Amino acid sequence: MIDMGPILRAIFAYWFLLATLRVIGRRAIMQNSPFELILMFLFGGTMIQAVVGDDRSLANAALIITTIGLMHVFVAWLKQCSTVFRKIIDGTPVVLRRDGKWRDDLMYEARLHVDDVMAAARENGIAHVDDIRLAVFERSGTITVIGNGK
Amino acid sequence: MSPSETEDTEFDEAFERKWIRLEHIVWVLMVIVVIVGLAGGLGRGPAVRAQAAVSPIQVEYERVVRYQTPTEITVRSVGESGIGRLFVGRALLDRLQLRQVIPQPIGAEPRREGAILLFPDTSSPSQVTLIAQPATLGATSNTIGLSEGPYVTFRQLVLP
Repeated sequence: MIDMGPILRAIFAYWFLLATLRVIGRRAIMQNSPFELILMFLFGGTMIQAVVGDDRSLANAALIITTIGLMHVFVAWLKQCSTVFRKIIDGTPVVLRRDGKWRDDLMYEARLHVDDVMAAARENGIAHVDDIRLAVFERSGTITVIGNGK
Repeated sequence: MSPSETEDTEFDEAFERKWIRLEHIVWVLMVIVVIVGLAGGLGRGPAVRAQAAVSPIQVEYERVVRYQTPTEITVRSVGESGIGRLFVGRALLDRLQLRQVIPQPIGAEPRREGAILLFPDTSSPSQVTLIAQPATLGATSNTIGLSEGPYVTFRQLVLP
């Protein structure tokens, strides 16, 4: 009998983690503080035990990694084919500040603080909040800041 | 129009607002899952402990168990005589995979529909604990009893 267990568990784990990361907000994937990094360690460490099960062989590991790799290719292909699917998986960039005005409602929902935007601004050589023309919370979880001079 | 309003950021505010609403709904569902989990709805908790009895046998078990995770089934004899010969159904042996019996039986007699565990006549226990480790998913109907009857049948759900 064919043992589909590892493959089905890997597919479930992929979609479950993808959905969880998506609904807890893209802040979780910023990974620039222990607060966010801890999620990756715990999510990965907890799920891997259930996916691998009691079969710790190299063959099982190879099968699981291959399945997850194929899922990644499949999702990337679906994202390419469908704009709606791409938005669901990645979201859209969120404008946090435009022309001197903060979008406080969106900042609150993204669980971001002005300090987070200023940290990104300083990386771009912008030290004052008034010099920020456009601040965008990207799909990747990073914050892009464009100054008044650009 | 200001310069940044003409910049294409791909920001879809309508979509993001819908997504935020969905996030809030899912957060509520996550809280419910945690509460159900704490109560034992996903196995291992007070809400899933159950009892089935046919005099003089009483069986304590968990209605919901987890795949490949040990679960205890306690059989008690409330009559004067202890448990000398305990019948264990085929589903418990195969689907739930019996791992350990406390106290340890001195032998076992195979039967077509299960097996009879033998305990010494001189010190027949009034309580036997079976430790099983479910090996298949889904609902399973188990039968336990004294070899000459009565038998107690109970159902367990094995979660992935």
